[in-house]
Amino acid sequence: MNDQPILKVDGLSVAYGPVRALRGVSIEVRRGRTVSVIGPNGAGKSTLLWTITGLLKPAAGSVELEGEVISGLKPETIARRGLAIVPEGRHNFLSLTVADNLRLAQIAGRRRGGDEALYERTLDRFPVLRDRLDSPASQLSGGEAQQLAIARALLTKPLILLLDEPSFGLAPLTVEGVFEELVRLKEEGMTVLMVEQNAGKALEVADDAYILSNGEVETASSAESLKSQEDFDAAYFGEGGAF
Amino acid sequence: MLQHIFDAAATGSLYAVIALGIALVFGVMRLVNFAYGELLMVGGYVVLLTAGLPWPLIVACTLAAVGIVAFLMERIAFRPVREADPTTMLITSFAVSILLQNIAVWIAGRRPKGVSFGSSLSEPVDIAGASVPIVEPVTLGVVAASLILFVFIMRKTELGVQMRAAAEDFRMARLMGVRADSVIVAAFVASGVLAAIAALLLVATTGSVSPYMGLQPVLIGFVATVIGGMGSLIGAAVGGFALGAVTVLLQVVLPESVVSYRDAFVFSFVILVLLAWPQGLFANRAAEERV
Ligand SMILES: Nc1ncnc2c1ncn2[C@@H]1O[C@H](COP(=O)(O)OP(=O)(O)OP(=O)(O)O)[C@@H](O)[C@H]1O
Ligand SMILES: [Mg+2]
Repeated sequence: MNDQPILKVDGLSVAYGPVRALRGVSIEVRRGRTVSVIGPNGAGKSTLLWTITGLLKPAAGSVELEGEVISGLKPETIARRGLAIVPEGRHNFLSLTVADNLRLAQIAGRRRGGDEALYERTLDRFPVLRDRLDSPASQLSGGEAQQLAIARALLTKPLILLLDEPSFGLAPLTVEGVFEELVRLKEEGMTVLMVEQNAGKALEVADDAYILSNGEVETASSAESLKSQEDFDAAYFGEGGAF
Repeated sequence: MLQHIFDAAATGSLYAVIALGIALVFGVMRLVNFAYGELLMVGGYVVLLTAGLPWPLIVACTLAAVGIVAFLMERIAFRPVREADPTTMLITSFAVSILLQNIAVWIAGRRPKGVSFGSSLSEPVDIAGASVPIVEPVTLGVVAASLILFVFIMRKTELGVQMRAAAEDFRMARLMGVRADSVIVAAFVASGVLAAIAALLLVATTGSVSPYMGLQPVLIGFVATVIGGMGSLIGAAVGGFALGAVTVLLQVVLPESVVSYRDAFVFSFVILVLLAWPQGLFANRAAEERV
């Protein structure tokens, strides 16, 4: 049971009309691990995450959560099974207060056994949010908004947390904060699948890494070996330095 | 003067309720449901059918019946086309609208029918020296109570938070476990209840029902939501109120020779508002595509 991956993506293909965004992508995320998917713009990273959440339907392949096929289920059903996402662009509910954003997540979390203690712990993790509970989410700074997006995901008490470019558009110091948070989550045993352009940072926190390019997995290995790999730069920044 | 203010406020608040019903469904579906007018019409005929009963029963029957029709409308007509493109949904709403009108014509005939519901409400009452029909303060009271209840539900209940979230970003709401079906059904049923309230007030005011009685209200509601900023519930209510109040006040202030062109002036006002605020008075990013 413990050897079984929490998330298993098998031979996933996704197309937007004629554009084939993913071509037979397979990845695995085991319990308590942090997995990074890195790759240049347009590689298909976001498409991969949206497909796992159920918002996009794959043309072929399957997604399993704890051994059960979830591809084809409604996004809300998949979310209720314990999959949370901090999407590209965060997508906080800007017309709602911070408190209402969190409350929405709490409603979801309660179904999965989340309680007041989880709420308190989450606010302790992001003290800024506690001070801003009554502000509209639209008034948060970029860093605060990212904290809200992560807090919201954690309050749903997920089995696995998906993050799409958590450092995107943030000031360097704030980026440090986000990655420190990811390290802390990992120490607490959270299972994470993360997509990042910031390859250096992503490999620092990750246990395993996949390089996605042109809709295909180019390399899959431990983050450790990828970091030390000599031809890493060639494989990653090659062909016109996509970054 | 006070009398005209009462007229304007009563009409304005009736329009506000109507507009809210349209905005609610638009919020979660990005659909202007033109069959909303026929929910109102169904409400009118339920009042006609139950006319002999004590008034609380008439009210209860109307609210329940229109709520159920709205529920069925979503299940039968709109759910199958929910993933289709917006044009398909819009055409579906026209089709449902025409179908319900024809059913009404078939069962009850084309001609308007008189209803005695609330006829005692047309008695005048003295308020601060002005003589107004009782139905106007009653309308104000009913609408105020309905709006307070509505705001309470939207702000304080779990369903309300979920509906506001879904209205802003439907996909993200689903990713947080909010059931698409539940919020859409809730929006339809709530819009049915609002249509029933509007129908009761309208029938009490006009004393008649007809298969086409929903046409004008749905147009008003649509224009009001556009003024308010599609997708904003507060905007719809304010837009409805403004539209109703302006209509009544123009009736009063326009010289006799042009008063028959009142609606031309009303819509000039609408155009002016939209020139100044092209996104509507209360535009927010909630009006984004649902996809
Ligand atoms: N809605 C869409 N319609 C058509 N093509 C799309 C759509 N979304 C993405 N694509 C295409 O699919 C491919 C993968 O896009 P995706 O957004 O998944 O890449 P990404 O790796 O997340 O890129 P980035 O690093 O810029 O976020 C790209 O070629 C993109 O142009
Ligand atoms: Mg992306």
